[in-house]
Amino acid sequence: MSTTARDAILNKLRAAQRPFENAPPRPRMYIPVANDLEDTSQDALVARFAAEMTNLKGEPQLVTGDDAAREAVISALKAIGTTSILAWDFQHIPVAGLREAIAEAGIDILYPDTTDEYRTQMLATAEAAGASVTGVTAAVAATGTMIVRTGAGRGRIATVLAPVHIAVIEAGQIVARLENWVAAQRANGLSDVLDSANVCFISGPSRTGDIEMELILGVHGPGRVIAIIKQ
Amino acid sequence: MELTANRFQESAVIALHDVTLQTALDRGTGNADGRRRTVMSELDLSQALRQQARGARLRGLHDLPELLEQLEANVTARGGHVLWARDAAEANQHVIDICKAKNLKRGVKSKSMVTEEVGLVAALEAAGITMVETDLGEYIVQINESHPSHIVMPVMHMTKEEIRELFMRKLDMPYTEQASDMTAFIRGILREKYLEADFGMSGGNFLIAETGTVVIVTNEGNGRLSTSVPPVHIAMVGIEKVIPTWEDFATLVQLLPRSATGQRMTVYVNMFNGPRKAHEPDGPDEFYLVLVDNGRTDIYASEYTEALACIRCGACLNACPVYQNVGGHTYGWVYPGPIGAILTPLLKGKENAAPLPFASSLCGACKQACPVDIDIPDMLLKLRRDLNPSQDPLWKLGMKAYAFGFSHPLLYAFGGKAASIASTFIGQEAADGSRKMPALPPPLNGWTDNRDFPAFPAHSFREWWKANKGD
Repeated sequence: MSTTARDAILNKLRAAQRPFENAPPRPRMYIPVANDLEDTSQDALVARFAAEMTNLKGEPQLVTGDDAAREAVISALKAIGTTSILAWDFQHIPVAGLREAIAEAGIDILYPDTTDEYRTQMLATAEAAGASVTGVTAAVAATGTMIVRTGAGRGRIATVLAPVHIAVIEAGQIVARLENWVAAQRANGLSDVLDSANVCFISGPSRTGDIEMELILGVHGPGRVIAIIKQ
Repeated sequence: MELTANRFQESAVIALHDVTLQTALDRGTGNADGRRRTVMSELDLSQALRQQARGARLRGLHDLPELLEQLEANVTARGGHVLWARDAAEANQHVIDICKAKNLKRGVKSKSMVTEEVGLVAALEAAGITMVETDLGEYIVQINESHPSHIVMPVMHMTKEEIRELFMRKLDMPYTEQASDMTAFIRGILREKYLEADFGMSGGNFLIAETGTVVIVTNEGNGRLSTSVPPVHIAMVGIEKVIPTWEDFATLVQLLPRSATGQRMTVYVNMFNGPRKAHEPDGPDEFYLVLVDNGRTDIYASEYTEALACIRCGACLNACPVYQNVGGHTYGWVYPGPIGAILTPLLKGKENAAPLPFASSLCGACKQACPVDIDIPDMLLKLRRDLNPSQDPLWKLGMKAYAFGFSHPLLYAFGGKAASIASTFIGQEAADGSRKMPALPPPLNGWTDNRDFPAFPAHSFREWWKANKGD
C-alpha cells in the first residue's frame, strides 16, 4: 500500500512540475541573517554571546582557566543545593578535574543511558536530578545559541531534563553567526551533522508565552541555563 | 475537525461581540505583530533576506519530487523509515499500524499543524491509543476539548482568567493569580507523561533533503523531551516542507522565529537524522517519517502552488485587520487568517469555504508581513474569481458602458457636465457645510446606504484648467 502511495504522490508531482516565473535565483553568496557583527575577534564574540544570552534570560559567566571554570561549576551546583546531577561523559566537558571536584562536593553524577532494560528506573532517577552539566559542540555569538550534537557520552537527556543546565563553553568554540557554523559543516562534507542522530540549537532557557504572551521560563526544559565561558 | 468555514459571516458577527475574545485578541495580536516589526526592522537587509528565504522555498517546491526522493534515501540510509500518505486516513493508519505492531499505547506529542489537519489524536483515540499534547497551549486546547485558534499561539483566543478557570475545573488546580504558577502546575503533570510514554510524535518545520534531516522548532522544550525520552519517534510532515540545503535552512530557521514571535532564535531547534546511533546513550531506537499529501499535490498542480511555500509563522494572522477582530475559530477550520483563507478552500474545496477569500480587505498587510513574500492578496483575488466564474449580466453591461464612456472624450466631458448639473439640483448640504449626494436608487444604493458620496462640483477640472492655466 505504501509503495503505491509513494508512486502516486511522486507521479502527480512530476506531472505538474514547471518553472516558477518569479522565483528568486539561488544566491551566489548567502546573506547572513544577523548582519551586525563587525568585530569578530574572540573577545568580541565572547562579549556578544554573553550579551545575547543575558537578553534571553540565560546566565553567562566568563572565567579564565580550568581552576576558575571548575570553581564556577561547583559554586553554581552548591547554590542550587542539589545532591545529584546529570552529565555528559567528562571528556566532552573542557574542564580538567571537574568530575573529581563534583564527586568531592558530595554530588552524585548520573550519565543518562536509556538503551537497556533499566530505562524506566534510569528515567525516574534522572528526573530527580537538580541540575545537569555538559559541554557544547559550538556556540553562536549573534544569537546566544549553544549547539549540541549527540555522540558517545553525549546524550540529549542531560541537556533538557533537569531544571538547571550548566554548559561549559571554550571561548574558541564560539563562532560569529549560524551561517559560519553551517559553512564549517559544509567544509567537512556535513559529516559531523550526519554522525549524530540529533543536533540541537539551544538559545536560552525553556520559555512559553502561551498564556497571554506573558513570558514564563522553565515550562518543560530547564528554567535556568548557565553558560561557563572559559577563556 | 469539523469544517464550518461557510458560516464565516455568522461566526464573525458573534466573535465581534464576544468581549472576552476581543480582550484576548487585543492582548495577543498587537503584541505579536509589534515584536515581529521590531526584530525585522533591525535587519538592514531584511528585504533581500525575504527574497533569499523565498528562493529557498520556491526552489524546494520546484524540485519537490526529486528532493523528496533524496530525502527518503537519506532518512533510510540513517536507519529511519519513510511512509507515504495520500490522505488523512492513510496518514493516521500508518501511525496506528506502527503502534499496533510495537504495542505502543501512550504517546506524547509536540505541536504540529498537519496532525491537527488529519485529525490524528481523535483517530488514535478511536484505536485505543492515548496521545497527550505537550505544548502548553495545545494541552490547554486538548483538555478544553477545543481547537487551536492560531498557528503559533494556540490559545490566543483565551484570557488568563479563562485558562485558570479551566485548570481549576478540569485538573483541580489551586487558585492562583500567576501565570507562572499555572505553568508550573502543568509542568508537573506533563513530566510524568514524558517518562511513561511509549512513543513521541512531532511535526516538522523543515525537511533538509541533502542530509535527510527533520527539523522541529519549539520554545518550551516539549519537542526535545517528546523526541528524546520515549523509545520511538514518529514525525508527521507535509510533503511541501522540503528545502534543498543547510544554507537554505540557516536563512529560514532565523526568519521563522523573527516573523512568528519576534525572537531572534527559537529556544530549541531540533534536528533529527534517523534513530539513535549505536554509540549514543539516549534517544529513540526507532524513527519514522510520515510524509503527508492530503491535497497538497492538487495545490501543486494548480495556479496556487506558491501557497505551499508557507512556513507557518503566523505573521499574516497577527498583521491582518480581519483576523485581529474575528480571531482564528471564525475561519472554521485548522488554518486561520489570510493563509488559511487560501489553504482551507484549496484543501477542503472552494465551495466549502466560499466566504473565506472575501474575508479580507486586500490591504496587503499579510504579504508585507510574510517572510517568504507569498502574494496572498493576489491569490485571494484569484479565488474570488474562481468562486464567481459567471458574472451578473447587468454588471457586465455596466462595465462595458463605463469602458465606452471613458474611452470617448466628448462623451466623458458630457457625462461630467451632466453630473454637475444633476448635483446642483439633487445635492444636499451636509452638517459640515460640504455638499453630498442623497441616497441614490439601485444599483447605486450599495454605496450610499453606508457611505457618503460627495456632490460633483459645479465646474469640472477641464473647465477650471481652461479658465486658469490654459493659453
